Amino acid sequence: MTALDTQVGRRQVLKGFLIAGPTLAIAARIGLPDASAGAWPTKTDEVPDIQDFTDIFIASETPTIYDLLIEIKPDNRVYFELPRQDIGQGIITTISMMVADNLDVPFENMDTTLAPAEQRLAAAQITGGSHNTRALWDPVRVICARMRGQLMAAAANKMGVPVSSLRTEDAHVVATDGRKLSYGELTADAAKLPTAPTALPKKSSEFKIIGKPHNKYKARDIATGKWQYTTDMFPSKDFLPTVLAMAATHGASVVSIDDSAAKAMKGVIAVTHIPGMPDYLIPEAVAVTAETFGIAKKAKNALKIKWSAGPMDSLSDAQIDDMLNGIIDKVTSPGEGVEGTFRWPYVPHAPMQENAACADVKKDGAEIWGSDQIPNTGQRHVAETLGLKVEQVKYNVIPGGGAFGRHLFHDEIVMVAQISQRVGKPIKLQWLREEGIKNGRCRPVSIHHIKATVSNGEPVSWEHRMACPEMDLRHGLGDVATGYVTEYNNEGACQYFFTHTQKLAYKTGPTAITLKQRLLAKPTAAWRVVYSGQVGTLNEIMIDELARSLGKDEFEFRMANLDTDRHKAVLEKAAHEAQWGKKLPAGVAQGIGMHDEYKSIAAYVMEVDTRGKEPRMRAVTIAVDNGYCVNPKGTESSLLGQAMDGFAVVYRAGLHVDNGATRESNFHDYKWSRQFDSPLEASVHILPNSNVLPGGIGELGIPAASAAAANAWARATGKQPRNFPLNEYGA
Amino acid sequence: MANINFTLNGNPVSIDVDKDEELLWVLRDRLDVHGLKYGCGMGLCGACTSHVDGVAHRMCITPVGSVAGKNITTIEGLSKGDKLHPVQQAWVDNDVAQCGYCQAGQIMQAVSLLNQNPHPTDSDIDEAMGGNLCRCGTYFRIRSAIKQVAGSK
Repeated sequence: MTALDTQVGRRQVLKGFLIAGPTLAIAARIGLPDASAGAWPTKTDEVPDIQDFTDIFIASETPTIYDLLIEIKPDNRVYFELPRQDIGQGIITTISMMVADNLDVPFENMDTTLAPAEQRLAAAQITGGSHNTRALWDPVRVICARMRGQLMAAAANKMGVPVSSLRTEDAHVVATDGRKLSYGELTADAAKLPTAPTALPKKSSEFKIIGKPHNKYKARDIATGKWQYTTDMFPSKDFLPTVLAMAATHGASVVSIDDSAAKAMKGVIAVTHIPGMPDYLIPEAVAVTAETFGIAKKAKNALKIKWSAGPMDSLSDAQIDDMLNGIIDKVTSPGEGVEGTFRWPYVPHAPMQENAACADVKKDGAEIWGSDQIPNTGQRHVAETLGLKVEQVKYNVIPGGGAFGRHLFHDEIVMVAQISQRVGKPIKLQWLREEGIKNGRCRPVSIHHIKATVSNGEPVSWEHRMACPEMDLRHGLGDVATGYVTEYNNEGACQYFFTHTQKLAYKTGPTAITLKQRLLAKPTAAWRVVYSGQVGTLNEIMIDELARSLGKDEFEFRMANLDTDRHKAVLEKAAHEAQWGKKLPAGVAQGIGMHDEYKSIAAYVMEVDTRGKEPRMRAVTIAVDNGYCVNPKGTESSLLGQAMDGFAVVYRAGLHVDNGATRESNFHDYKWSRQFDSPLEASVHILPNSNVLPGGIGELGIPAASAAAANAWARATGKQPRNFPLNEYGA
Repeated sequence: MANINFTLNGNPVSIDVDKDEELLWVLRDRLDVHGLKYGCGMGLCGACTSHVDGVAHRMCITPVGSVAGKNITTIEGLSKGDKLHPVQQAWVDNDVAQCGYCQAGQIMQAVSLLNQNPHPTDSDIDEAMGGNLCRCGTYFRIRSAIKQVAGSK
């Protein structure tokens, strides 16, 4: 655990000692078991218990994370450029709360925008892995403390009193005699003073905004339609509407284009063949530019494009499954226990805003507007594809309409730049939903074998073997070095990521959780709660089955075997609030699931009614320990939403592959949660703030929610969930 | 082609376009009204939902020719002046939006529901809102916001 108010610097030193802390456990472990009795080795720490990907993110961005632009204007407003992406997770609100509180200004004074892509930020411009509230905690409080220190020094000079007699409040410096000066009046003088490196950050006990429920930044603009996404920023007469035609089968390329019928249509401006970036699985495409998107879409349908065969045309779902069964590590544990083979389908991110971006490319420079999660990687790829220098590409980062991992890549950014360069005009690109579902990146299909063994009524080992098409991590972390490494060793990057995220939070003997991958042409990307969405959910399903095989209650079994008291407190809270074990009609059951990642822990209890045509979520109860919770209202919002994600992937969502092509095309056949799936009862219980840094919550809940959904179904029907989505496969 | 006349957020519009052109694109690309969003183009997600004579329609499948002489209201035309429409206010009060992209459509659908049925039951809400997809999963708070408005009437 890391202390919330610890002096920066010292914490880094302490960290090494803290992770080596449980020496007693180590001593116990090497106290040799009685070999004659054949005792099983006890569980050892797993890699993420020692160093997880949150630690890696923060370590990688530390060199530049203190580089934040916060400016106090003469009118007392605070201009803040957040070098991250807000795609609905609410980080503009969260970090603005932190800035406002640490500066002692009202939240209403904040004018927050997203920083443009900047190479010098290196790894400190990535939005992923739910790490940013924690990562920005110290930079924000240290920088704001120094700014307050300078303002107080300027006020001290003006008032002729010692700095130590001053305090700050409500965007003013206040003297003991009641005199006060606004920050705006002091900024010019303060800027001439040396920085105040000894200024102490506020203590958590002094917070006024942080830790209290806060509504979303500019919620009113969203409710009135004023909030602008990329395609809302310019009139279409200035930035020409453009749509794409993409390969019929994955990885196919254009053989010939007959665009005569399309070009003859009134309002069509250009038909352009763009190469994409095949090395990054950014597909080759034919772009249609017209007066309106409606015309462009009709003209796209009038194109006659001959496509080559693609590299996976011989593969349908069955052949992909065969391939995965051929590469997956074998389960080798001897002995009795519980065992299962599972399958998840391909799942696209399908954010409500399908890939969209704007570009104005000229000979000597380009300007881009997009919603990347790693814009500086996108900026480099745009420069590379246009033949420009990176500094000739200005990339404006615009809040996106969802992402869920999709915008770790920047397919639409590269494509819109290529189109604008060829058409010679500013372009507004909108991927159609059909291309988004068929050709867009997605979570890869996966096969899992799990076996948990039991000896003398106690769990003694846990094996989880996963195989999937290679997941694309070649975006790196934003800096040149990781970009280079991931580009040339994506499989290594995946293994590294997997090892530093996957674990089992139970004392069920030694664990072996492994991954095998093979590259296919269907584009993939990290998908919200990466790998854990599949692995973590299935572990929780098998924990239920293991408990039942031993004649134990699923909740009680968890309480007896969870790794830490922190886990137990979260689980107990969820079970207590949900009245775990309450009597329900036949066909209705509660399911429980939990997940531990991003330095946070969540537990979900879901009540599912399986008696109707499709299972229905009746209630969900959520408990979470996310360290120091900056915005309880945002946490609640996100975790409620994740219940719908968990429900969707278990019951409803998934793609099929037929001869190298994706079968589904839009929301009629790619099905997601709807209003009628939302429960009538829902509650989120945030455990009291402890003295630890904030943990992540932007994706934390999904494995717990989907496990709860599947476990409820198993308890209601007596069947074993194996093949997802359950509405299609039944078991 | 002939001039098509309709009222948009209280103002008369006369536009010379193909009568089959979908209203979503007429509004967004020709009239620079951007509050309604593209999500699916097939009437499957509701992100473009706006009102024709006070009733929710999917603008992505509504030909402009079909609204000649009618009143079109988009999210921009819902509130009068600075005062929010009660449904918009309920959306803010309940902190409904996450990414926000679908919310204009959700609000317009909810207003249409409440116009026709001021006190909807849970199943009325499920049915009326079932065509509006929210990928962030804000449904629980959508229901709370609708009930807030219904409860105050």
